[in-house]
Amino acid sequence: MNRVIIVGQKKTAKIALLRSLFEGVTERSDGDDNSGLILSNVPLSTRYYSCNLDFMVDEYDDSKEWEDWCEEILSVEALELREAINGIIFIFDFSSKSILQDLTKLSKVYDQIEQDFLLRNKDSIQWEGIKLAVGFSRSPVAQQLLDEVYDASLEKGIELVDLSIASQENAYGEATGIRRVKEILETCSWPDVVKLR
Amino acid sequence: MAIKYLIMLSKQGKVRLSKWYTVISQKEKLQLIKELTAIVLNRKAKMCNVLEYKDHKIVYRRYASLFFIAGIDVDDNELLTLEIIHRYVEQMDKAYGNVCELDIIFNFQKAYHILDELLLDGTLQESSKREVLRRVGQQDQYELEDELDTKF
Repeated sequence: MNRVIIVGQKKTAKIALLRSLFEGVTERSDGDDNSGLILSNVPLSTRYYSCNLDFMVDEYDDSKEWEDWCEEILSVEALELREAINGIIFIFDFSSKSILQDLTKLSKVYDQIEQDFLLRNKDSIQWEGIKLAVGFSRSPVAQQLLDEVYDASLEKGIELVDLSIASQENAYGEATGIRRVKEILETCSWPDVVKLR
Repeated sequence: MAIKYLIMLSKQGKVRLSKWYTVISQKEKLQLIKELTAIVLNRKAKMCNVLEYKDHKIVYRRYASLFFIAGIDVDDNELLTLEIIHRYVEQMDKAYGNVCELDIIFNFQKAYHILDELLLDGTLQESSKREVLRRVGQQDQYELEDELDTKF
């Protein structure tokens, strides 16, 4: 099974992101209550393999609830869940006042997942799952804020994809935006794939 | 000059290729990769491509979502190392046909083969672009012919 958690504050374009990546994946919208929603068997196919992904969508109201969510997933009871997932995609609005603290809590979750993985797999050097933060904005974002968030996520080893810019390629010819998110999903080492000849 | 190791890292911090031209234990390799991942991925686009690391230097170059990291001695030429990395990327691009990370993940043996034709013991052994591709193509051909033989 290939499982990814998509989590973010309420009304933070989680469903919109999934819809732009996979056509017709769901009738739901970001205005609905999507907490606990599971989108199963979303097809992903590349020239090398095809597979089905399960997206587990979760939401929180505010920073306190995000802290509780992180604590819950870090708990001993959630060990099975941490072992079962292949990545967590965190979606946030650039206008949120607690982005940096939220990213810090997110990095603790990733660190714990990596630690659990390395304890079970002593020969591996790293967890192969997705560590991704996706930022979007309904209004133009100040360059200083962008730089701050980018630096913070770099320090914590989380890749940041900025959906607030329309372009799918940056000045260095690298994929950005939705194109980069798709690339990350395609290059992830999914455990359950059908290899194509 | 000799490259001590060459590591290909994705932006997600995943190791896609690692080639060692110096004898170090597996534990040290893992430690080195872990440290390099933390150092190189933290660097911004406009930062210098050369940095000092322990008793040697790291030269890295970023191509799309991949970082190519080479470890060299303090006395070695960094610009030459950058050129070697670039030559390797060019060769891969020609061999794979517009190479991307997915190609390297699923056809990693070709990436290693091209590297082995290009470098021997960390030193450039074949400077001709055409010759490296010719040898790789020839070996692929032998492999294909072998498969045909077993079928009959």
